[in-house]
Amino acid sequence: MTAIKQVDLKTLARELLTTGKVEVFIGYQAATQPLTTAPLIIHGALGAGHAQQASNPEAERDLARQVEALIFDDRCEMNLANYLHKFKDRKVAIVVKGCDSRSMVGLLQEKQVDRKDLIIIGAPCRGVIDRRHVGSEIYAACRECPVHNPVIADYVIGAPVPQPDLPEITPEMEALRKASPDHRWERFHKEMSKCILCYACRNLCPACYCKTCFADASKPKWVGRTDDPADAMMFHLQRLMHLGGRCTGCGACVRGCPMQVDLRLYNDHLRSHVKQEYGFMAGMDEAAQPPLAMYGTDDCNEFIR
Amino acid sequence: MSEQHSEWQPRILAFLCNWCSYAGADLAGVSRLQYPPNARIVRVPCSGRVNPGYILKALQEGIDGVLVSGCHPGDCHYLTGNYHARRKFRLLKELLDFVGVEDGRVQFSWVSAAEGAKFAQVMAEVTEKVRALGPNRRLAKHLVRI
Repeated sequence: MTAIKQVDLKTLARELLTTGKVEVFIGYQAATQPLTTAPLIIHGALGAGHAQQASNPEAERDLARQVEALIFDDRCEMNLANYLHKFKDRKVAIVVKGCDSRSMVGLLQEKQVDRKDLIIIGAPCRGVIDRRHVGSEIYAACRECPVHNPVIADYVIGAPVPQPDLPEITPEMEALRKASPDHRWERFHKEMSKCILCYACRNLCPACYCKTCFADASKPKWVGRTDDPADAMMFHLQRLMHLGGRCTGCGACVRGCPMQVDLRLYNDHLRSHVKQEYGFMAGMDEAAQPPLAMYGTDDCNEFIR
Repeated sequence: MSEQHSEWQPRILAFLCNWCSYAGADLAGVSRLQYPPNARIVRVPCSGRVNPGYILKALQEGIDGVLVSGCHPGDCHYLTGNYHARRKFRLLKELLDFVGVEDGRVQFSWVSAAEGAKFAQVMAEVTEKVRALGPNRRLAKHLVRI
């Protein structure tokens, strides 16, 4: 991290956009309500569809206004890596926190975006304020975050932050693992009963980029349209399987859930399973192969007759 | 209730790979081996073809147990299909255990085309295990299907 150039966010954005080094700049702006932020997607003067505006003073003023609106602080909760698919094959600059950078590395691993098209602006982050528990508390995902500094960046917009020591597993997870299957089922049933199948978790998840999701399929209709928890279970169990070894634990699904379903619990469990079994952490190394896309001839065989 | 329970027969869905386990089942039949008739067999090209979604969906539709059986490691007709399947199923098993689905609802085995007797034995064991668990209530859907 030390070798990477530390820059001012707005100055850099202005330079990248006006010189045409990038067509699109993805960052944050303040939103209308307290503690909220929104993504700010700025199209550069030389971006697609804006070619004639290059000499247009009004467009220039507009661009300057938008660049002025860029912010980065501890309210910026959104995982902007989710926007990268929308600008595939275009030159993009993106502001990423530690977690977002891992999601982005996941996309690079899976060849969803090209590193050549990206200018990555790393934002060291101490954790994002939990809007639901106002009083300077940060999100649970941030408390347990193992990567406060971006794993990959071309520029950084702040000094690296220290990485606190973390327990291997949280007390809540430990308790649940030790609990009886009936108790675990009760917990799962309780969580799934809250779900209204709005698919916000899927839409917010950078790893959920399939153009056609199984949840939207009607032949076969994997997920029914009733409020029987069995439908929510079908959706979440399949989605959890799809995210096995890919989820980075950014917590976007939990932050976006209108019903406060604790999906992190289940993703965390699978993530620690994959780490323990295959020594793999998602989104750390661009060149690594996801473990569920590979095999080992000496993998665990004990559960098979 | 106990009378009803004694009449209850587990319904089991078995995904058998075309090249080994299905041939193993065939051999068990040709050899006139006796085994419980509770399984409905679905022939699949490879154990690696079995989407975990199939297993979950079968449980949701009310099947009492699922067995997936393929070639022994190293014997896959497609060379590595069962290796990939093994990782996938390990993850599924981990997930189902963690959410609290009973151990034994979903089972896996390797049965070669020469192992008719092993197939009969696996069928008997799987059926007994699922019978002991009782009807599948956890993932099954209770409301009208829409």
